[in-house]
Formats: sequence, structure tokens, C-alpha cells
Amino acid sequence: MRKYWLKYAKNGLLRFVGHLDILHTWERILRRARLPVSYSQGFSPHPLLSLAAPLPVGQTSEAEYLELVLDQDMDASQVLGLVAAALPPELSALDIEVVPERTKALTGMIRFADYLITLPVDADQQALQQRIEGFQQAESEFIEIERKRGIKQVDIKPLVKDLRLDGNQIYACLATGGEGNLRPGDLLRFLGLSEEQQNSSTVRRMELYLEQEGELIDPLGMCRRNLERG
Amino acid sequence: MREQIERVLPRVEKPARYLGNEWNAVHKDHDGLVTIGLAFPDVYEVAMSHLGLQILYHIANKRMDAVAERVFAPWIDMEAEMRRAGLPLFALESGKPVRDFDLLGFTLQYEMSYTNILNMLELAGIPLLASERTAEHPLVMAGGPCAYNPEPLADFLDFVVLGEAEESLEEVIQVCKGCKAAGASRKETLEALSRIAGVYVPAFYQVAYQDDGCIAAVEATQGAPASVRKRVVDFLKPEYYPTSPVVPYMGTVHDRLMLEIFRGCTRGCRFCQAGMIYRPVRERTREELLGLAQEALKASGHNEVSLMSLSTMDYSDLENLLGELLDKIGCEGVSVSLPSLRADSFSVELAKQVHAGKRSGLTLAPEAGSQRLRDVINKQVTEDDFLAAINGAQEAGWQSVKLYFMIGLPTENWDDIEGIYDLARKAVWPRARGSNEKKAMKVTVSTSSFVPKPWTPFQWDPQDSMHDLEKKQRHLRDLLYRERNITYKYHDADLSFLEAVFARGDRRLGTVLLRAHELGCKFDGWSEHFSYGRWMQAFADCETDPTFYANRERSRAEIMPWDHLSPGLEKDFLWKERELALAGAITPDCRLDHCPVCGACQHLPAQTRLAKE
Repeated sequence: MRKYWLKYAKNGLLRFVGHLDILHTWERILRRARLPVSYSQGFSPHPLLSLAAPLPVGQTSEAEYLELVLDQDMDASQVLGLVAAALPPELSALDIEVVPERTKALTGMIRFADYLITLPVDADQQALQQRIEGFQQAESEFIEIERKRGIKQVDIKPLVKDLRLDGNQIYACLATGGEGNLRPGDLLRFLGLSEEQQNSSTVRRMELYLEQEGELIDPLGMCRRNLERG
Repeated sequence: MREQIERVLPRVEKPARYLGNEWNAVHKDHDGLVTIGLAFPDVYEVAMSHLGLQILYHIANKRMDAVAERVFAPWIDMEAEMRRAGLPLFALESGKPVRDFDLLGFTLQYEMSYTNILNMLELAGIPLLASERTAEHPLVMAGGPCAYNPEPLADFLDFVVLGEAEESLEEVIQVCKGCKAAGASRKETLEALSRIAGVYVPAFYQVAYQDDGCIAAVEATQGAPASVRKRVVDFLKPEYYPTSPVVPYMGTVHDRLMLEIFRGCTRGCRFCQAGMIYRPVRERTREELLGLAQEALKASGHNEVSLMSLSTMDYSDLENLLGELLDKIGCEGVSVSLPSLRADSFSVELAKQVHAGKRSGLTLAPEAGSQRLRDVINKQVTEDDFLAAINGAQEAGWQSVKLYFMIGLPTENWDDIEGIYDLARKAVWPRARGSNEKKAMKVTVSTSSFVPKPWTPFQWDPQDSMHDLEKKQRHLRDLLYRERNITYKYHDADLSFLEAVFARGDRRLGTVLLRAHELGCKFDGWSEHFSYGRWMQAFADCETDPTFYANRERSRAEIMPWDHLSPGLEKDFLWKERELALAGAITPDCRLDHCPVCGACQHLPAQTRLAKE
């Protein structure tokens, strides 16, 4: 048994394919690649595959992570090559690392994500710039966020690690995962974009981060660092 | 167009229905090719579960001179977005409007999808009436099981391809290509098409009626043949099978590899249209099936193979096929499933072997509650077979079973209805079937209402009135209600009534269809969209009596609306079978016993082919 983290990009029309369907798509991809995926034990065995963080329908990404377990110890670059040949054009395999089997599930470790948001041409860049500067100076910033159980007041200040405007693009590093989560849509609303403008913005996820020793690091970066340290 | 489509997708519930970029989808440059829209008049999940569509897609796209793309009914939300944005019906792969295609072919799987065909034509911007289309419009064709009586759709179809289209589709493409190059008119093209065996051009036939509403005569014009017989392939060549099936991103009704192990069925159940129209039986060999399954699994990545046919338990080499399949692919985490079981212990034994570890539901179809009625319909399953099957299932670990029955079969009486109750109770209680098991089985009884179909021995018979069907449903519900281990489900009789109207309707129903479409009927097979009231309004507005088609007993001499078409069967054979039915006499499977001369092997260029003699 060997565990791998595989980094891939999700592009184009696949933004309309949801999280669970993508997971099933991966099952088929790995079967087409003839990789010996391990199965869980128990009454209804399922393949040992998981995705690091669900990507909402409508967003593309250049840093998705698949955690997979294979029955055989295969060379990481060989796995990457076999996967690449079985991928639909709008998914591309970017990188891979072997991780120690005892490593905790990647899903539970994701803390932040980088986003590149392209705004519609009618967005008022000057107003945005002011709003962002105001946010950076504020101690806290409460906004209303709609959750399953109703509307909640949330301080988004600790949920935003970085926020910059560059022309008609926003670069943002936002909390994601179970320990705090801010959706790009909620950020855009806070920044004063109309619903129409929010809908015509495109969101691309650029990277996912774990926390190690108080700093953010991407999953494969952490693998490699741990490897160097032995 | 693509961009416009992408703009509306964020607003629909399941955008993955409309992408067209699935694994193995074929994208070709249309330039200089014959363009074919393969249309399924239902939503994506249903359409993508249909093997026939994948076969034709594969065959047409193998050709260098043609391109086939998929065209499905947009779901209600998408249709609203398309109408708002002024987007016409488009083909999935290219996103191009289907009105620009050369051919638009609909599969007729179900009578209650006819309004969706009209709605799709309207969305496409193609005139609904064939007579109003011009050179700029595609030729609208149709095929599939309901095409054996396409008369209710005669006004809307340019031509119909009867029978198996593996070969005839290629001939249609050939002719269209020639006509396109020669600049032939629409009428000239249709005349050329009508010379292909199996092609029926409704407009070339004049129908006259008697005073009593029955057909007086059907006359062929424009040199069209007096009678059109279905096409059939002599054997199922491996190259017909789509070894690179399109793999949906989203879940569908049948999310698995469909392996067609044979075509046709000779059990001879008298209610079953499929058993009549797909004759003769042609089995693929075991070696070929193993090869096709392995190739298609590799190309698709599916994790389940379903052995498809009309009666999978009858495959002559089934045990060996299953054994080798499980051997070769089972180790790769791929499972095998059997879509239909016969109600006997042999079937349950195989199901046990196949579903090792995984207990999916077990469904058996005794079809009728008494031996008398099972003999009438020629369903050759005895009560002993059935009880042995339940015993075997319970021993193998199944705790629940689903039982399918039909109500309203010819000659049915109250004893037959109560027979369903008795049989269901025996299925529940082990003692009643001589088993030593202790626990009661959970039983779901499901009844559908019998719909007499063209080209069956019951094509002359009336459907039970809705009133009678509902009375029978109520009686059964009252009986079964007392049993806490039995759940009873039944299909609404009003939908079955309309199925019966259109199954045996004639071309005068075209006006009713048109009116129903105007009144907003669509997705009639989906209970949340079906409105019986709207349909009754349509019949009233057209001064048409639906019971004339559904509930009237027809005489032997009557000219049926489909008599000028043929699946290769002798009408005399069907009539003789009807007489045997009324006498309660069975006709054994022709592969086991003597030939009843149904006509299939006599008239069609195909013979029964078994994998193992």
C-alpha cells in the first residue's frame, strides 16, 4: 500500500461538474489508467480516493489535490504518466508526491486557499481599492453570511490572509475548510459588487494551503520539506 | 452559440446535462459532412442510459463523411432559460443549432414522449408539420420500437426507419450525401430514401376511412412500396458494438457498461411487443463478449457491466460467460449485473453467484396472479418455480423481494386479482412455501396496467376501462393493506390509458398531439409534469374519442393503422396465438420445441443464432 497526493487542474466546461461527480470521474480515470487502487475493508468496499477540498460548481482551479492509495508501491512519476494518458482534456495532472501512510487525511488539513477573481469590466476599481484599504486597516469586520442554519454574523478579518487588487483582478487568500471558511462570493458582496457583477466574475482557485509551524505551505511543499528533514 | 449556452448554465439545476464534452464524445468539423442529430426525447440521464443511441452514434461517427451529435430534451429549467435567451435547441457536442443539421433522428421508445418531440422541434425552430418544411430544414426521421406504429406521428415525421438501423443508417447517410451533392429537392430526397429497404415515408401513403371510423384502405403513392418490412442484421457483428461509449460526468439511470449479449426473444409472452418485434434471437458468442467487455471497460473506466438483452437468463452459454467474466474482470473491482431475472431457482442461483457480497434488490416478474392467466399470456413460469426462487433467495440472504404484475390482461377475473394477493403472501411466509426459514420476507408488489400493443397477439383486444383498472387496483390495495410485510405500488391508470391510445392510434391523432403540445403537455412520462386534464381537453378540442383507440375490441378483418408496416411476423400467427390464449393453451419457446411459423425466420434475412447449441 502506498499513499499519494496528486495535484491537478480543473478547467473550462468542467467547472459545471460538481464535487461528487468529479470524484466518480477520478475513479473511472484511475481504472482507465489501470492503476491498482486500494479499496476500503468492510461491508461495501469503496476505492480509497478523496479530494482535498470541494470546489464549488462554477469555479476552475489550478491546484486541486487528489489523495489516493494504491495496492502496489509504484514510482510517483510513473503514476503521474499513466494518469495523464487517461485524463479528459479539461483535467490536467500537474504534480505528485508519495506521502507516508500514517499521514492524516489531506481533507482535514486544508486551511487556506488562494483565489484569482476576474471582475466584469463595469466594476468600479477605485471604489474597490478604497474598500480593500479600509478592510486592511480595520480591527475586525463583521458581515452577514448565509449558512444552512440561517444568517450569521461573522468576523471575516481572520479569514482573509491576503487581499489585493490588480487591474480588474482580485487576488485573495481566504480561509477554507472546517476551521473557518470564507467563500469568494461573500467576499465580493462585502466589497460592494452587485449580484449581477458577482455572477459575471470568474473565480479560479490557485493554491491550497496547510498550516505547519505557524506558516502556510502547499501540500506537496510540505511533503518535500518533510522528506528533506527525513 | 457555445458562449451563449455557457452564459445560461450557471442558472440551471444540473448544468452537466448540457456540456457535450464527456469522455469519448466525438467532436468533428462539420464542413462537407452529412450532419446527423441523434435525438432522444427525454432528459440527459434517461437518454444516456440507452444503448441504441450509443450504437448509432458509434456507427455514424466511424464514417469519414458523417458526424453524429446528441440532442436531448432540455429539462424544464433549461428550456425556460433557452427561451428567455432566444437560444434554439442545440446539439451537445458542437453547440450548433440542430435546425442547421441535415438529419434529425428521434428514437421512439415510449408513446408518452411524443409531446417532447414536438416541443423539441419547436425549440429548434423547425416547423412541426413535415409538409411545412423546406430545403433549409433537416429531414426529421424516427426509429425504435414505437416506430412499428408511427402513425400518430405521421404528420411530423419525414421518414421512419423500421427495425435495426446498424446497416440502414449507413444507407440513409449514403443517399443523403448523394442527394446533397446533386442538389436534389426535399421530395426527390425522400423518394430516394423510400427506395431503401425498411424506410417508410408517411406522406407517400394515403389513408381512407370508413363511416365507423375504421380504416378503409391505405394506398402507397410516389412509387413507394405497398408494405415496408423492418431491417434486421443477420448477426451482431463485433464492430457494431460501441467499445468506446460516451461516459457521462453526472450520474445517469444506468451508470454502467451495457453489454448487449443477444437480440430478440422467443419465449413468446403474448403481451410483450419486444418479444415479437425483435425476432429472431441472435446471440453473441462468449469469446466475443469477453473481448468486447474488456475493451469497453478499458476505454470507459466503468466499474460495472450489465448483461443486456430481453431475457438474459435465456442466453445459451450463460454460466460459462458469467464464470469467465467474473474471472477476468472481477479481480479489477468490476462487478457484473443481471438486469432481469426469471422467476425460478436457476436464476436466483446465478444472481447469488454474481452479487456475492453485494445484496442489491431482487426483482421477479410473475406478471399474473394465477396459473390460468399465466397460461393465457404464455408466461411459462409455474407457482412451484416461483416459490422455489423465493426460497433460494431467502437462503442466499435476500430479505426483500419485488414482484411485478400486470392487471387488466385479457380474460382477467377477480380470482386472478386475488391470486396476486395469495402469491404475495406465500412470498412473505416461509411456511407457505415449504421452507424452514423463520423470518418473513419483505415483499413489494408492483402492478402496471396492461397496454395492448401493435404486433402482439393482443393487438385486437380492448384495454380495460380506466374505471375497471382502478376498481382492481383498489381491491388489491384493500387486500394487501392488511399485510404489514407487503407494500403495494401501482401505476396510474390514466397514463396507461393514454399509452394505449397512442400505441394503437392512427394518423388522425396528429391533431390531438398538436393540440396537447399547444396546451403545454411535455415530459408526460414524469408524474410531476403529467396532466390528464390537459390531455382530455386536447381530445375534446379535436372532437376525438380516445376510447375508440384504447377500449374497443377490433375485428379480425379490420385494417390496423400499422398493417402496411411489418416486423416480419405473419398476422395469422398473431391471430392463432390469440386463439390459443383464449383457450388457455401455451406455445413453447421455439428454440426448445417445434417452430410455430411466426414468420421471422421465414421472411427475414436472419436466422436464430445461439452461442451454444
